[in-house]
Amino acid sequence: MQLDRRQFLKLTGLAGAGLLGAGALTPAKARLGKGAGQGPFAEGAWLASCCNMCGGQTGIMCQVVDGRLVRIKPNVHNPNGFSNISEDFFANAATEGAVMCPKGNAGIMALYDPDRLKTPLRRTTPEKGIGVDPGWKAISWEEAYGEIVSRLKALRESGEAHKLLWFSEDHSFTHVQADFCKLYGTPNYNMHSNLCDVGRKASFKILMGDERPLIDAINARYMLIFGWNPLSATKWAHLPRIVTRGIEQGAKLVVVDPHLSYTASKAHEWIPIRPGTDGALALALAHVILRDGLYDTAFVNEWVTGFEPFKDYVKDKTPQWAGEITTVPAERIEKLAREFAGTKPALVDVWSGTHHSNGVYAGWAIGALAAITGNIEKPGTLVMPEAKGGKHIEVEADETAKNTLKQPRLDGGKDRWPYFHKSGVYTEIINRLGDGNTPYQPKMAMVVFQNLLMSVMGTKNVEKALKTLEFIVVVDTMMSETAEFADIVLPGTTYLERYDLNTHWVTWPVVGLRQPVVQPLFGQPAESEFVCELGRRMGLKEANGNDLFRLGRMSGQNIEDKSRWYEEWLSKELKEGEPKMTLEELKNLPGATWVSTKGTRYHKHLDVIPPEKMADSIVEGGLVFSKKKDGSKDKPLGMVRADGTAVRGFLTPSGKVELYAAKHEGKKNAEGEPLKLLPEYEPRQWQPSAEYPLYLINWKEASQTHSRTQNNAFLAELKVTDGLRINTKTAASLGIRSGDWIWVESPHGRIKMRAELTEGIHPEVVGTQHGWGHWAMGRTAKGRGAHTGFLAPTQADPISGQALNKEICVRLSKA
Amino acid sequence: MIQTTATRPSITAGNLPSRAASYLVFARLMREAPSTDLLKFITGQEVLEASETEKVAVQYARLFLVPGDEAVRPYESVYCDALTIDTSTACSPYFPSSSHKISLNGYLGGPSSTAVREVYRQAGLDLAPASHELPDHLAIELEFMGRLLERRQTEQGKMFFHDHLARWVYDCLHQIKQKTDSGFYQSLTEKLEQFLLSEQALFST
Repeated sequence: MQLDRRQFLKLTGLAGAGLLGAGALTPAKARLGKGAGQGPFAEGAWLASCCNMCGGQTGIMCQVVDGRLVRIKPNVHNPNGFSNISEDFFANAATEGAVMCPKGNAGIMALYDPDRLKTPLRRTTPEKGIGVDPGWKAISWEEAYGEIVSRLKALRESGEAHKLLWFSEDHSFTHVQADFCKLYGTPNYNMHSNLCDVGRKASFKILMGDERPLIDAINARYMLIFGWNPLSATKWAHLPRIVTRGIEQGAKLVVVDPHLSYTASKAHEWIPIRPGTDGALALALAHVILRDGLYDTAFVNEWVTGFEPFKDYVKDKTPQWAGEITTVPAERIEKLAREFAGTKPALVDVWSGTHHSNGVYAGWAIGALAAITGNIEKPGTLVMPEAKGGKHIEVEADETAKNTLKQPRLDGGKDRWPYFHKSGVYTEIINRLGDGNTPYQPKMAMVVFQNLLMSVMGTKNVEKALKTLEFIVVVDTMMSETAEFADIVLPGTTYLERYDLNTHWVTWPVVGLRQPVVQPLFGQPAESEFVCELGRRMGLKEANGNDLFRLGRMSGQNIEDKSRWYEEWLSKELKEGEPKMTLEELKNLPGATWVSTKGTRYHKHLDVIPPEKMADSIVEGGLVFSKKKDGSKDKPLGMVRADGTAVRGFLTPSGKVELYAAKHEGKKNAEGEPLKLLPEYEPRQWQPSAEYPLYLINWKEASQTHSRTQNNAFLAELKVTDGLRINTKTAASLGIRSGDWIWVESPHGRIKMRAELTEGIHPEVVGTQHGWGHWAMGRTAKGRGAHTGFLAPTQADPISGQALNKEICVRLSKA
Repeated sequence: MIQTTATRPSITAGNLPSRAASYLVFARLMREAPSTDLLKFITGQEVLEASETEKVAVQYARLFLVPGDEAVRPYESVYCDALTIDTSTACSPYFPSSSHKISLNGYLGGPSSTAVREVYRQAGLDLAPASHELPDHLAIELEFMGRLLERRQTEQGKMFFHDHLARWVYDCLHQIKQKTDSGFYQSLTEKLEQFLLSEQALFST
């Protein structure tokens, strides 16, 4: 189609007529002051906020000149970015200054990314699939809301609200989304965590009743890290500082990892290990410690349960036994055990190294090393954080919603997964959608900042699953691979354009505010406001008739302006939560961060339960529980010590650290197998074979977050490790040279990658940084590296629902 | 078919309303995909299948709204500005300890966007709240030119044309022509380029 010249000229004479519509310019209300066109680092306002380039929420200061963000710096008032221990923070932050990671620096690029989505889009190509052009066209917000709401209404009105699947980030505006799902009536609200660390959560919950103990690295004298890269995979920007400071103060760092990670490269010792065998190594270490009487008798006697059965179990888990399994020489295991047990305080930890089928038990076995050496809740050990912040105010669903909330979750929920996490089990949802083995067929999905195609392993399975849904809405700042499967895509906001409260991952109560430092670039609503608008248009109400999405939670008045409505929502959460202040008051604190002066507390298991709490409690079998209104037993409060005092203890069934889990008796995992009572080692399910002889692993580094930041040109320029790392000996045996293009093949698919030869990877293992291989997203991301998801099955650990991101075997050939 | 060569400027200096209208028409066509009525008018077709309008809308999105091989970002900041990052405070294995700054081109919301907004405000105009667009988008800069000429503010128009539009618009139009397969947007771009060249000639006298 071409423009007609004569008509065009005629039209120019008719420009005032209706065909052109209203323009974008309108009479100005105010004039800008001077200052436009100044240099990039001119003065301006400095606004405190929190980063969200990853889930770490590091404190940041944002310099805004004439409405433009020009610089991001660390926020020295926020412990997250300095230290997770209060003594260190209070004494040194002001003089030393805080830090950010490169992703934090690069946040400006995310805000001003030229590939950002700017308007709602609707697909015109009905067919969906990888490589299918959706044929996007712009639609108005009104049209987008209209269609989404009419589909949501139709589901709810026909009693099918549970057929809405909702996927979201796990640390951003989750309360408002969860509440929407509850009032709407779907039990299928899911979050990212089950791709991340629910395996670790289960391990430590079994062990000590706390899902996320943190390392007090700065006070440690020995650090034994399994499958974690804290110096580079900086979930919290203070990690490199506290680990290296610990080393400066005399700590020894030992890293167990199949790959010479950045942390391993800075360690005193790197112990390359065969993937999936960390549990065996931990058990052998325990064997030596117990055999040689190197354990902490006092701690074990009072605070550990199941010591004898554990000791019996590890009796034959000798260094020789583990040596064959792990490839770590027996004498090295002996030495490591003696070093670890002989140095106090020592810490031991594991993170995403447990993304394999023995992962939860391995994590438990690793945690057991802390238990038998008494390295729990002391300075320089594993510490249970007091993460108290804003309070999620409970809402009650109405009768319509209650009916569909009764439906089973698509992933089977806690009935299926003994350590089910509220984030759901993505892999199970994908598999059930794909094979049709479901109690009901979901119809609609709302996907908020989740790129399922790149983050859930088994890419072809994810593709198949998404194709079964009638209608998909994706909210994202970028055209992710998953967005390309959407029927409607809505432009989201970056963390620099919206609010959030961050209860930080330090060991004492701290709340950092994330606030909009600039207005959303394209006038789009913040996600909280989008959900609010849906709620309003749906007319969703609480059981008591409250208009949740209109009612100002502080003023009790209806508030039309959704931004103000959400400000009141946050104020209420802060008021009812630990800080007991309004949003405005939090904003006015230095660095917009509330820092409890109570500080880090150790030995919290010795906290005496206050008499007034004891008076209103139930004591049963030496354990203390709170009471429900009807007088029945509620939550565990603690336990009674031998001397009769009631203390917090550990929030496990025994009140102690558990090396033997009696609670597992008679329970089964998602595959119907009995739960193990001890942290047993079992070979992971997928072992190398003659056909697929190599383990394939992946890892994270400071330069990128998951599969989310690869379009950031600044980060891409920093370092591109998008090739496949191969041990030089392994490569030589295959005739592969550095820089060669090679096929990486599994039974599930094959991808092409560039060979990177190194001594820094176990000879039986090849690996790459996760997140590359985008085929959408934007000009920088697209076409770099390869996505290992094509090579993997879609599988979860049957205990916790943790996605098994690292259980793949492959073969290599020259391309 | 449009004749792309040997076209002399047909809009004279004296014909300000017509020039202003041209800016406004081009602004509208660059701002969003045309409606069916507008499309009928400018293509001279009395009957138009709905699918034709949709086709142009998809072409518009492919060019200006979604990333991809055909994507062009019609913003002055993308063509003229560099975004500077101060890396001195990063705790990263990748940075040396010394402070340094890194500049990258091709980003939205650069100093140009603030600068043009300031010019609009000096002229008593601002972005409408419902416009959902950045101030240095091609469509907005064209619309501003149209508004100035409507008010016969030719001196301001000349200044804005030289200070802003002419700095980048030809590069941008060149990219559009290179990237798009759309006949509609090829010919629209041709016409806009001719028009702007004729404007440049007028402003240079």
